[in-house]
Amino acid sequence: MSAVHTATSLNQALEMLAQYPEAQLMAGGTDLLVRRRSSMSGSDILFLGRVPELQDITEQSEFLAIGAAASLRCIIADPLVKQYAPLLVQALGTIGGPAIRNMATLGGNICTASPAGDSLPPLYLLDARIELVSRTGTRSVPIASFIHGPGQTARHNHELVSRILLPKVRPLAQEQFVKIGCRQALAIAVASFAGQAELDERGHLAHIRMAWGSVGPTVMRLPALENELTGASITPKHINYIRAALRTGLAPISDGRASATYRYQVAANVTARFVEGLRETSQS
Amino acid sequence: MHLARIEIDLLTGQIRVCDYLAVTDGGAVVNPCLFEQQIQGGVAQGLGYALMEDVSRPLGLVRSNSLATYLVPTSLDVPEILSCAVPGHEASGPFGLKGVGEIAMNGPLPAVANAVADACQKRLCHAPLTAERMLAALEDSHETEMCA
Amino acid sequence: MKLKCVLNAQAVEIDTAPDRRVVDLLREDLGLVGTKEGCGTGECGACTILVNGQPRLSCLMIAAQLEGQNVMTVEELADTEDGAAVQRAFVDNGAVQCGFCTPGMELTALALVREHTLPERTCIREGLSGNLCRCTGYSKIIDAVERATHALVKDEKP
Repeated sequence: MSAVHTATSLNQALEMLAQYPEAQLMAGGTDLLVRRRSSMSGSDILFLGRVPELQDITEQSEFLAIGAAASLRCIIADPLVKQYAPLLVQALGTIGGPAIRNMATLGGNICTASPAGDSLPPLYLLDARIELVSRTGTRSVPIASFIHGPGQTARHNHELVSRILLPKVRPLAQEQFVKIGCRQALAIAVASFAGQAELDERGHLAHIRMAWGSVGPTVMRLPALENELTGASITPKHINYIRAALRTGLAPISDGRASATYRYQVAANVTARFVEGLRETSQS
Repeated sequence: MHLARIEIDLLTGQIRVCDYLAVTDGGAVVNPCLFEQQIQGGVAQGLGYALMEDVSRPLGLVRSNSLATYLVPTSLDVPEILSCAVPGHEASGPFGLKGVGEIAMNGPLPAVANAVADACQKRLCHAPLTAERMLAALEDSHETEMCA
Repeated sequence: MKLKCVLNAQAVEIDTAPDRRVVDLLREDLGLVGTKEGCGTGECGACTILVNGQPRLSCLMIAAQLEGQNVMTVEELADTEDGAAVQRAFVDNGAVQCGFCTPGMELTALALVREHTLPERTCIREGLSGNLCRCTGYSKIIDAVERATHALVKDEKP
């Protein structure tokens, strides 16, 4: 039997974290409890699901703050998230199934730091910052710096992820999240794509940002490619250029779900479809 | 007789079964609801067999040993299934019945494979007809290689 | 720990290990064997219960999470008007074969019918997408949920 320490405030959670530094942090538990079952872990649990400061979704002057322990269901339904981060809403709706989404949290999805985490590609594009609190203070870290690799984050043992901060910017005209799984629900992504783009009055790319999941140890970005494409028109030559850049820039592996070849092919194809869709938008 | 209407996403290889019709000769139908239950259930299992169920056992070690790794269809993977019974009477069966408990499982794999061939003139010969196999076939000009 | 919650409309106090899996607490300690365990890893939905009216997976919950919550298992369905309507609809529409997925399905369906009035079949399909069934192919389960929603609106036999 393991002890479960239930915090009812953020301060209490931080005290418990200091008192029980080996305790495993749990909010929704949908990843942790599966891992504990397979590893037969006997560590204590620090349960954060009753900490109100970690559940709130609030609008600040410059950013939207999503509590790390807010359920995916609450986040999906929140009007502020729909307003400022519709791309994130798209992605969260693909995670697990309805009951999982009632339980799982955004903080959990981020801290699990799976290469296939569905919330992650949109969070990278949204320039999410991860707020960490401890008894000595608060800091925030860009998500790209927070996730170091599969299962590895920048959280120190004495810190809790408290909120996910999304800069309040207008969503771009075209935003899309695509998840390729082996079935339509309860699926782990074989490859995923998040794209944001906007065309100027000439039909050229005024903005384009892209992120890919499940094709590398963490979310993949290709900022050089985005820079090259900004201001460009969309032609078959550009599509081929994108495909070539992905072939060298992505790092998929082969595993039980799919081969590296398929992962590259499908990532390239859905990216091409997104970009070509922009061209069709510009011509309509 | 089974008929599957499918869509193939040519860029991902994903095969979606949009509608399914199963016409079954089960002899006399004593309980139409039970008959339909069995056919629909068998079709769903057959679609799983056709599209996603795969016992992965490299070097004899079973890798697909949980519901996370051995995938069965969810409600979003199975279409509406229409079942029709061919009226009949099996002289050797009680009340003219034949068993219909499992026969519906036989149809989906060939029905979907034939639908795939009809849709894109590619013949996949290995089950499950995964998106990866489909995409490889779509991007390969040599049709016969898929049946090697 | 001594945990206090409302379980099937009764205020209860349960003495249990705080990290006890809720599915084990229900089945083995409380004798509520209606909740089934299909996988233990959140992949099948057979263990679905309602917590504060929302479907949750009891195989991925620990006892400490139930403190102060309102919990419903399949055993309570017949005692509620809409739960009984869902049960009747499942029986009358051939939505039950082996019955193993049924408790989880019915509770998920109950939450669905409480949230949506006359949902479309696609909405029902989406709502049930976390509950696996190997026997039915889902068609008659969706029929049953659809008919239950109609019955609840029109108060006629599903």
